[in-house]
Amino acid sequence: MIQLKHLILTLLLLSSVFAEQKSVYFYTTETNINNFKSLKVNFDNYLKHFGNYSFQAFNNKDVFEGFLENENIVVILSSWHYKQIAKKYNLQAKLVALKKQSITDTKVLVGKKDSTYMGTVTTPFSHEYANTYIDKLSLKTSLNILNVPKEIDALMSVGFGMSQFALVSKESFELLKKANSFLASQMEIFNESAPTLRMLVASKNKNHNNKECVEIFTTLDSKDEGKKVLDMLGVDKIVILTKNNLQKLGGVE
Amino acid sequence: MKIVFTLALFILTLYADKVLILNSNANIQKYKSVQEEFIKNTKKPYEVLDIAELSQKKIKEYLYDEYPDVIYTIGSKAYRVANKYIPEKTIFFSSIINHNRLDINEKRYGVSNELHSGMHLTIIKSLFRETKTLSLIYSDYTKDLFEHFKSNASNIGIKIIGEKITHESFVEMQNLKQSDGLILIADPLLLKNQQRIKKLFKDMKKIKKPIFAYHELYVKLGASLVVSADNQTIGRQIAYMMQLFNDKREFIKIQIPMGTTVIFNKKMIESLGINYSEDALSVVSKVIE
Repeated sequence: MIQLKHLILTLLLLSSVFAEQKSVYFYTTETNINNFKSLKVNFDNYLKHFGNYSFQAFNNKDVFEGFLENENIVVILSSWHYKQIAKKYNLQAKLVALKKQSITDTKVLVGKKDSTYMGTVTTPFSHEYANTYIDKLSLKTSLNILNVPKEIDALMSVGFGMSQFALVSKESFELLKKANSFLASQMEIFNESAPTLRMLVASKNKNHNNKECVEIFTTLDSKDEGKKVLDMLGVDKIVILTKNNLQKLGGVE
Repeated sequence: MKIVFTLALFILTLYADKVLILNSNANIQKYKSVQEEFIKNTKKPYEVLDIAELSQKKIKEYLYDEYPDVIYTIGSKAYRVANKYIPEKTIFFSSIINHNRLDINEKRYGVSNELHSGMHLTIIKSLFRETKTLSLIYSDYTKDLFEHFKSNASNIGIKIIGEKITHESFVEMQNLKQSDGLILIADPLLLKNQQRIKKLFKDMKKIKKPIFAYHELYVKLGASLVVSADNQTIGRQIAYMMQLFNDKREFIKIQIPMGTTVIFNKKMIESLGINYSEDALSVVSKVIE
């Protein structure tokens, strides 16, 4: 009887040692998270409930993409970035972030009233990402980008006269209106993007754990560790992408 | 001969273009962080000198030998020596507490260590929308800062109740009860007595009022919120200003930090029973659970 117990324990131990390690990779051009440590601790604590998963955050696009050849991965990235690389790395978007009942958000270029398109644009978005919006204005040569940690910083820099424009989400400008209407009243939206999908969760096309992947992310708001992760990502929930949304995204069918 | 001359000219151009980073003490995390971010973002060649262990004589010799055209000084010690020995040169500075007390001429450019008072207030108001009145302890040393807070607060519908202290007197707790919280500023008279600071935190907790501080050290004492300048952004800002300077483009010579680090002590806020706006958590950098 004792021998059998030992055998079962050994088998259990071996199975856990050889269980497939699955990774969740995170990189987004839309935020400038300085505190990856807290995000990793909380994500890893949450992922423990689902087996042999580990979370890894990247602050460099090229390094992040270098890891996408791996098979057992789930990635969290911006929809803009997904469109660029989905085909190359055989990624399939499954889920999307939800905030205030919306899976899309709008980016705005905000400046002091009567400003000309010159000077500094403060933004937490990566240079490459920010440039795609500024390029559309065809005035890129007169605007330089300076990265700040958060959208509120970008707006306050304009408000307190340190930069000329802020490239942020429309929601952040709404927040500034509530917190400091005096500052916001001196500013206006100069340009507004079309709504784009928020942060996506994608996996490899061949991934056999898709059901598990969906469960992990759609139940984030049901556990304390998961709620902390959602707070850090600045979203309310992660929900399944509909077929219609997927078609809009393009990339991999 | 022509080749030697061209080569010498080339070397001289390279050398003249180099930035000297003068760090008061590279072992201090804050100084290290701005230096690293500056290096990551500058396009200019650079050299670093940590002066923490060097004598004045050695620093002087180094500055005279190297004689750099542009210097980036981190911390007040570095600024003072550069300003003393090679005042004719262009000096960028950062990480200096109250830079206004320094000798700053027209060839000086930098980022202040302190955030705009309006930035503190905007972050407070984002998270605590019901805030109507805030107390602020000040002395003759910080009277200007108090006035600055007062005028910026009135723009967003907050009344600042000033509590002036002197060498002999301290604040009346009874007065602090009238407000929705206390903004802690770096007043030298207030900070002189650590026991008094600890007691202040204890007493505020007793009357269930939050303290909004400016340095993460106060989280341990029970600050509900800490708003401070983000050091990495300061390093980026200096690199950016230097680029504009080289390109001969216009920029503000002495700027306020454009990035904030916000620590939200959720545990303390919940224990005080204070409401906060969950939709504003995007302004927070770190949550203490």
